[in-house]
Amino acid sequence: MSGKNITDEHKLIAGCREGKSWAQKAIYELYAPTMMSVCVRYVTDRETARDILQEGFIKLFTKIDSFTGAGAFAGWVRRIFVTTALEYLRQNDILKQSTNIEDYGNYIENEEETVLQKISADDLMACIAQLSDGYRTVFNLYAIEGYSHAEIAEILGISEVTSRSQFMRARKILQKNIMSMTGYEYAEQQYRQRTR
Amino acid sequence: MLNNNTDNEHDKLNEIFRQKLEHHTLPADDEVWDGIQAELKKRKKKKIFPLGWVYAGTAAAVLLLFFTINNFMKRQTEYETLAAKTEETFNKISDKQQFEITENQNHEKQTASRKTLALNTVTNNGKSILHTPTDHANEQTGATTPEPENNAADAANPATKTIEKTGTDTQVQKSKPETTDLKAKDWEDPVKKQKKRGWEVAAALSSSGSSSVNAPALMSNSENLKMSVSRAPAFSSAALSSDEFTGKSYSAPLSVGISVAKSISDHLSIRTGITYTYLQTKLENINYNADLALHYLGVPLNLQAYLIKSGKWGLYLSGGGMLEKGIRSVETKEQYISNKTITTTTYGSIDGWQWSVNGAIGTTYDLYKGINLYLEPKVSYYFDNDQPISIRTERKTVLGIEGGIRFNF
Repeated sequence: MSGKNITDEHKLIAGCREGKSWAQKAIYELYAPTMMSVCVRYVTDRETARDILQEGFIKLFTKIDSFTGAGAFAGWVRRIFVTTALEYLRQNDILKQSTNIEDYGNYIENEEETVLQKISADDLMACIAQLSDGYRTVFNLYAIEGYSHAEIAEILGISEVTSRSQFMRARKILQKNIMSMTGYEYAEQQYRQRTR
Repeated sequence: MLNNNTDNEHDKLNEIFRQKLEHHTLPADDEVWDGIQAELKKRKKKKIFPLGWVYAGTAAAVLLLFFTINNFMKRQTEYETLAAKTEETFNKISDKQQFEITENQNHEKQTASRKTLALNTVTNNGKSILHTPTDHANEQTGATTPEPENNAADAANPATKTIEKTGTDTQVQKSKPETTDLKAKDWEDPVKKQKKRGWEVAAALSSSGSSSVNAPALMSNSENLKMSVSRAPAFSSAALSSDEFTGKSYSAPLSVGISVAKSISDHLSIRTGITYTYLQTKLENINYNADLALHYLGVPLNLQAYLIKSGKWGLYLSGGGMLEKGIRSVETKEQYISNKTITTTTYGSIDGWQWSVNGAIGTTYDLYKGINLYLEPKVSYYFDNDQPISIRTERKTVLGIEGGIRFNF
């Protein structure tokens, strides 16, 4: 973020602290699309994601005084929405529901990185949505939000080992989903490269 | 457990996931924003402070008035009790024939007279309500009084004069009426006082109730880019409609002024002067915020009626009207355009006149001879005179409080 934008962000934050509608609207327009994606990644259902988005922004505007300015505002905003989504999952006992643990084998291959680079974010979102709630939550927290397993264990009230193992299983399932989604396109690309 | 190669691979893959999804966006419906706004408004409504310090001040003033009245009633009861006791005491004294004349006890006589002064100086329109002890003595021991004809003249004179005369003409032996703290000046008739002090000058400070309508607390934003221009056609106070704004917040109006009063009868006086009033309104809609400051000069005309006066405290009613002329408006508009906050300030005049009527009940406290403090809760009604947005256009009837200092001469 450039210096000018940082200044503007400070003005928007100051406006939100004063409860100015124009500042709240500007913050909403800036962050709503990204935060909608965050919400959908956690709860998959669009309608529920909208509710969480709304609740998250209300929290943001009513608790903005607790933002000290020490860290990045964007990070603080993201944490609010992740926390709100987790609260929803916790309140509805979604995280406690049993997950189907299967051995998906080792799908990690050298080509995966190339495949991942080519896959669109929307397809990746679709693949993540296919994960069970528990796996998806741990995957999101670890792989995307960057929490450590120790932090995830504390947030979700599980052991660190459980967090690790759930992440590994989530990764395997995700690899399988990605490969099955992109398998045809990938095979086609390989064929074209070989026939050149 | 994964080996190091697998860990490295995971780190790379996680990085790819993060890059792809960290800034991924999905459209958010307008309904979400509408829901947020509705919820925030609901919460703000709950937070609005309905009365404000002005109302707290009004409550304090009402308590003060209650205290004044209570004090008056208490003193009235004490006075009646003392009057009864005094009469009883001097009846006994006269029965025992304890008055005698002696030249050597002039000093003692005067002392006794001063003590009785406290019991006998309540006046009503200059006439003595109570008979002095010496009056009683004179009436009953007229034969022993050298100049009994003086009594008749004394009764018609002000109390102080009566006491002086009785002090020199009569002697009271061991006549120590029950002590009292009441002083002659405590029972000075407010009417008489008004007559003595025909003119009065006052300096006043007053404020009225503030309120918020779906709006946040007033705060300044000093970080905003300031840009002053002489004219901003898009934002004119005359064109402003109250409905354009989702939030309106009114600061408590602040007035200062000086006034002069003249007694027109025993209990009535008429008061006029000049009053400056500052009105501030914060307006807000989805596109911009506006701060509207209005400056008014007004001429009040009030009739004031004193009700009671007890010791240093007094109580009065006041009613009248005021004609005000807006002398300046300052409109500051704050707009967020293309990631920039632009502040535009427009200075203008205010057309038309503002008429209002008001009523008040006030209390005074004598600080020093001819100087008193006053406090009056007042209610004002502002007529619709097509004036710019202010608390007066939002609420026609405004409760306020005025206080100040008055000089009598």
